[in-house]
Amino acid sequence: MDLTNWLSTPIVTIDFRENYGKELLVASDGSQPQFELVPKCLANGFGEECVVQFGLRFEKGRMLPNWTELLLSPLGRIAVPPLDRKLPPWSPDKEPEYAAALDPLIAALSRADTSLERLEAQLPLFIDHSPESKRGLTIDRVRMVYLENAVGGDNPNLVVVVLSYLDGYRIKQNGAGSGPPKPR
Amino acid sequence: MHRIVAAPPVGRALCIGVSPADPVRYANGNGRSGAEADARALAGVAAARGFARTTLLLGADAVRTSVRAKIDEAARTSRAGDLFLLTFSGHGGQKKTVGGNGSGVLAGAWSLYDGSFIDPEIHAALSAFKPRVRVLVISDCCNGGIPGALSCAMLPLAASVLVLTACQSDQYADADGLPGHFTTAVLNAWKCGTFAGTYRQFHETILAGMPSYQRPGYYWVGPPDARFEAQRPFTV
Repeated sequence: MDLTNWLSTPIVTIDFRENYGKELLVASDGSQPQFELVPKCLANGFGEECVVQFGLRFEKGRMLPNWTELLLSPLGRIAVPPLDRKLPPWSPDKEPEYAAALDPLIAALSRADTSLERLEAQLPLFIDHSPESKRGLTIDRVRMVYLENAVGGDNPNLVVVVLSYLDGYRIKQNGAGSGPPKPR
Repeated sequence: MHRIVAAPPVGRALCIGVSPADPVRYANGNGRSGAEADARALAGVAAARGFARTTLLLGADAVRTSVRAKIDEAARTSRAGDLFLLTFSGHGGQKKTVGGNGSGVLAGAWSLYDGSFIDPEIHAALSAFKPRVRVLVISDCCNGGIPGALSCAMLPLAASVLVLTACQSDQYADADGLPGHFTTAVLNAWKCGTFAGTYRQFHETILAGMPSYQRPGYYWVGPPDARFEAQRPFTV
């Protein structure tokens, strides 16, 4: 899996959100959620330093506390298919267009058996559905894909983040978000 | 001499179940597992009640085109007096969509295997049913898939559509952490076919089996049908 795009534009700002993404992809200080991917390197058998995973960091308040030190691994073997059509630059009135265009990709990334190339991590959380869920730990799968030339305008690239429940945990929730990546 | 014989009503059912996760690990306390098992259970109720045709769309088979095609087929073949049962078990959500005046409005959505099937699409599919066809929708998912929520901006329905939902539009259908809690309540209320009341009483029995933070919905889309409502549930 080619990690070049993630390495060259590691800062992701989230603008579009839907479903449980509206509760998880938020900044606790009320600002626009934003995080940065930090490469984790390992020397291979030839002594060459390789990026093998990404840590996640963010300014205090720009993401919920449970995103701290999330470790994302590159997984999958099938390239992410391009969107059917190029999206307009984000603005709140474009939400229906983003929801419709990203829907098939979000569905594909929600499936347990997806083979799409992505970064993936596990996010622990307690959710506020009910008295039981407030006490019951659940773990979400966080998956991110990078779409090149998906958006018209100055920044044509888009990162899509999909949250879905991890096998073995019973609380059900799913959600998604997306936003532009940019260089450090 | 010619005799006119009225054809008996025919029951058709489409039961959809999409479990994106491993169903074995999601086995709930009743020994059933996940949304696909819920769909099978509801299909079993239909079969036991004499539905002529029951179609299951599970997992990877439950894609947008197949769901729409099966509903269209039922609409084409159903006549006045027939009953169509449409059930969905799986994830639900809400999608911002464009309303009649161009503004964005939230629509409920069923999460099918390859994407969302949103309220306006469900409503459009149901609009193909003829007058006096009875349609029963059982929607077991979070805050979505509630056909009729946006009906004012859509085609009028000729058929009488009674909708039973797992929760209100601002609630989650999985509030106690067990998948298919609503379907479990439906099956418990049904009592293996021994429930003898009306649809309204059926809903009240289901309500009694649910926690206070998850209130199943009950409403009509299209013209209400008092005779339909007074029937024993799942009566063809």
